[in-house]
Amino acid sequence: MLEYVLKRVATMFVTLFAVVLLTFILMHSVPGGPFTAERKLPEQVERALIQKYKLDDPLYKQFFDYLKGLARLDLGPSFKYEGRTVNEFIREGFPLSARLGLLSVGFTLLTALPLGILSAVKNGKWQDILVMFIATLGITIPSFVIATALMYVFSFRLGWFPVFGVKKLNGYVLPVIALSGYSLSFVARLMRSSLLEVMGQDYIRTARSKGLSESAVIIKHALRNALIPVVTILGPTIAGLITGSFVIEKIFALPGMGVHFVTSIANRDYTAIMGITIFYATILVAMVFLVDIFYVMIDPRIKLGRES
Amino acid sequence: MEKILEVKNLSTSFFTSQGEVQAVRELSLSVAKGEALGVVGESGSGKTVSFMSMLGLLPNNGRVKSGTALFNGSDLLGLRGRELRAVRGRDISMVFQDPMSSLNPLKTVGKQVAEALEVHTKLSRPEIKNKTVEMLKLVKIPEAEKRYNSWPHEFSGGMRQRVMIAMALVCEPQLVIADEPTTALDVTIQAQILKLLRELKDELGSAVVFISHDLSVIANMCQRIVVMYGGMVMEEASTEEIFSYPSHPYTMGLLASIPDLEQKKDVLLDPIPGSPPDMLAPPPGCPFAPRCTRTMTICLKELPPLAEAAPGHSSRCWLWSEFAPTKGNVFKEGAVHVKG
Amino acid sequence: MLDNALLWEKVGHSEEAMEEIAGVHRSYAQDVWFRFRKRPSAIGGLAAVLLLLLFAGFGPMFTGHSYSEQNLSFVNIPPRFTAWTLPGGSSGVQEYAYITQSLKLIRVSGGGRLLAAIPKAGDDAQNKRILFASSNASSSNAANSQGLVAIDYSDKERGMVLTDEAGKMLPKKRMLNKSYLLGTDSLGRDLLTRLMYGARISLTVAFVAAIINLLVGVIYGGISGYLGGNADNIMMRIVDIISTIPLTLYVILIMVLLDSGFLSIIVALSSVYWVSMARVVRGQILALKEQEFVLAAKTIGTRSFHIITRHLIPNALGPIIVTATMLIPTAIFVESFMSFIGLGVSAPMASWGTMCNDALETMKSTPHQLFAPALAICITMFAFNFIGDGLRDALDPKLRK
Repeated sequence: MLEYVLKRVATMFVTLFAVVLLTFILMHSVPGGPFTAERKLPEQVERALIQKYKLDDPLYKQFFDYLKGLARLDLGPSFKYEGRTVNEFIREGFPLSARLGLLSVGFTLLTALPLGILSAVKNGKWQDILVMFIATLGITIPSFVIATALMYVFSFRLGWFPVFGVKKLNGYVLPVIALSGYSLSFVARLMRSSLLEVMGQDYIRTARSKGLSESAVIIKHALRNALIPVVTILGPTIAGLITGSFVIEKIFALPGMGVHFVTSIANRDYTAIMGITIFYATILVAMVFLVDIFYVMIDPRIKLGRES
Repeated sequence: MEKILEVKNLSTSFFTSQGEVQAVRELSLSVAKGEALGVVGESGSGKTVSFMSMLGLLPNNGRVKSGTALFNGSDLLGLRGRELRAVRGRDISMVFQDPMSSLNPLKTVGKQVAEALEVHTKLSRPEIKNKTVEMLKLVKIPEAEKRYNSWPHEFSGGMRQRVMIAMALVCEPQLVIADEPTTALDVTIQAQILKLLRELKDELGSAVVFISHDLSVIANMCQRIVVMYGGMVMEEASTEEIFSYPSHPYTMGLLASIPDLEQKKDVLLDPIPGSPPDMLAPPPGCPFAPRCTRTMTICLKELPPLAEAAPGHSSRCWLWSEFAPTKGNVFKEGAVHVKG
Repeated sequence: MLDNALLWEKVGHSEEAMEEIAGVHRSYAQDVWFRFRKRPSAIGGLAAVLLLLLFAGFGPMFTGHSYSEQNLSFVNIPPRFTAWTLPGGSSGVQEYAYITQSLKLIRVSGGGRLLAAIPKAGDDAQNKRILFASSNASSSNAANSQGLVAIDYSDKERGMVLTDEAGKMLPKKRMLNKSYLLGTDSLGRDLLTRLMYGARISLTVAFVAAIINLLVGVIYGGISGYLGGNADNIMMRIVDIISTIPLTLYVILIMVLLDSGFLSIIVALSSVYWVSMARVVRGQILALKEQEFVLAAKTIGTRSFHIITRHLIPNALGPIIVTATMLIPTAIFVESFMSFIGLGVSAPMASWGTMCNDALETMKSTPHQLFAPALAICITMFAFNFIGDGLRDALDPKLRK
């Protein structure tokens, strides 16, 4: 177990290093340098800026400086806003995004798993057809369409929820539903197909042949097996919910991480783009790591290092 | 002898997108108390499906169309839900073909064996555990107490099959249905498992239905043999009768397909040509007719009835009809040399 | 009956007849098509995609508008509106007027065609009225129909109404917009035409990206799976690292780097989304290369390239096709997503995502501008997903019985 964890931690750092390297290279290959992208600055100003951001250092030195900063959890200054740091952007935006994300994670798990199980148990009946129809909608309709549709119907037409902001608690309802739409549908579908697949396994027949009732067969034998594939995708799903809200934030005008990210993109604020990307990637990699550890705990076959 | 299972005219079909697959057709057979009955046939001949039908373990698209299966006088096919579950595992239990996939990978083997006791008895937890460990010892699993907490993936195929047998026998059922229990195992392990099954059968006095495609395996285990083909019983007789006086061309073909150590080297094995019939549209006549070396016009037109070839020996072949020009004579030529 | 001697004659059969495989004979493609067309959703999806292709390819020829043509007098007009009957229909042709959101008056024909803006004649702030000279330009005796009409906004409850000079409310009726079937956007451009051009962009991006991803994924996965061992380990580790990162982030980064535009989207999409295809192909190849027919090919000295292209890839075709089909909706989604956050194609070109983005702010007053592209995205996503699902089931060898 310990060996496995250490190995996974090592991979995690390799991945993060690759992410940092890749983002760094991408952001430093902007043609003409970051300041000439839009308008011509006076030469003096430009030189001052280059000196300030050490852009005349060789690239590898810049990279090591950046890495040193990262080791101190310092993502550096913003390119566009004098005196602001990327850390500040994250500190301002992330709590709201995280709250939105965690609410969505809870909502996803609480609805998707029961719905998927119901759908599998009632395979082919109207409950199954209804759940799968909704899940198909959730998977195919982009989140920004879901969000705008919800907003139009429930805020403008019916007036049940506030249009913008989360000053009141019910302001979270529509953003959370819109944000969870995809993952909820995906998890429900996966839960269903996984449970159906497990229900066709030989060991389920064995359990039935022992005289277990159908509900006991499902609860004691099928569910845990069926949850394994679901657990494997939980990492990316959770990370996606926590980080992937920039469209939702834009539509509902919530001042979260996503807004900072989109603004940085619009402003071509390269250090901010780089920093936020790395921050997002770190959360994602960490989530995948945690879920992998959890996965090992529920599947005895992996403990011995024998995968599959 | 007292019969514990008596099946009459059982028909089971699967309903697929391409039509009705008639897996079992008008099957009748019986099992006596403490008896070992062998059911033999190629894959797809309906052996497994017929017993799954009786226990209500068919896949969703399978349906029993007609028939009765009297178990100690009550019809299994009429039982539903709780009543049927009370029979499964307690009175009739099963050992399946593939021990690799028949055990739940996320439960310890001890728990899985104990589960049958939890469902069917009112024993306390320690009693259940004791009995389970005892059973694991009985199927010769070394260090049974320690192995109680092992996971299935830590066991070899043969060991897993022993666990399956322990699971099937732990409630001391009256009938055990062993569905190809040795097919997925190595030959040496096969022999061990067969030996174990024979011993346990005598020790516990359960009746055993032994399903296999391998006549030689069955000959080792069973007193009586039912030969199935195309979802029907083709021949039924005691083991000695089947081997000495096979009375159906299909049985003769099966016997001729068995390699024989004493056979001279220049005598080639004599396999049955062709493949089993398509049960989506079974031929109107004898299902074996298209592959038979003795086919007559009537074989392609009419289904032969089960005829008595000798006392206690029935065969579904037109050659036993009183109108057949060579009534029964062909079979006297002997088992192995059946060149047409 | 049984005593008929003919019945008891021996019948011989040929060896070939016996070895014939029972069951209906169908080629692989026929079999796949047979199972595919049994799914109404898959056929529906296919039909929708074909219609969409026609819509995108030939539609703009019939709308009579171009995607960039602006008509600032016809701004934000919905597909269905309330028209007020203009007085002075004596000339025989009854005409109507539509009040725009910016309180302008547009002359509308009886059939629902937008004719021209009616010139403003003056403000009557005292009575909360705006006056318009409704003289019928097409009328022969202009002097006769020099009538004035007025938009009366005095009553909040009643909303805006059109009255005649004397202040009497004119009769109104609902009519469909015949000039712009789906209405116009905030610059007076025809939404239907823009939607068609949007379809061109979305579909082109999707197909090109899917094809590039297919090629890169198949080559990468094929090599990795075929070589196996350390090469495979390293190649798959790279894929693992790439796929741990949210792919949209990388598309965004690449888009930032390349500046928004049609080509950038394709480059961004193609440089990232091949990993899933590479994984699928590699898994298939690994499984297949252990099989006897590959060994057989090797023992007779077939070259590696030949083995990959002739033996391995054709056998892995099913999952490859399904993955490729599923790449299309992903590409459409990412493209519209990028356009939505402002990284898409640049104006005046239209993609569905940019259309949604443009319409977002005025969602309350002009919802039609948002609904049309949103619906188009949904239908397309549905269609491709249904096709993908249908293909997956149809190509699944486990179901081939």
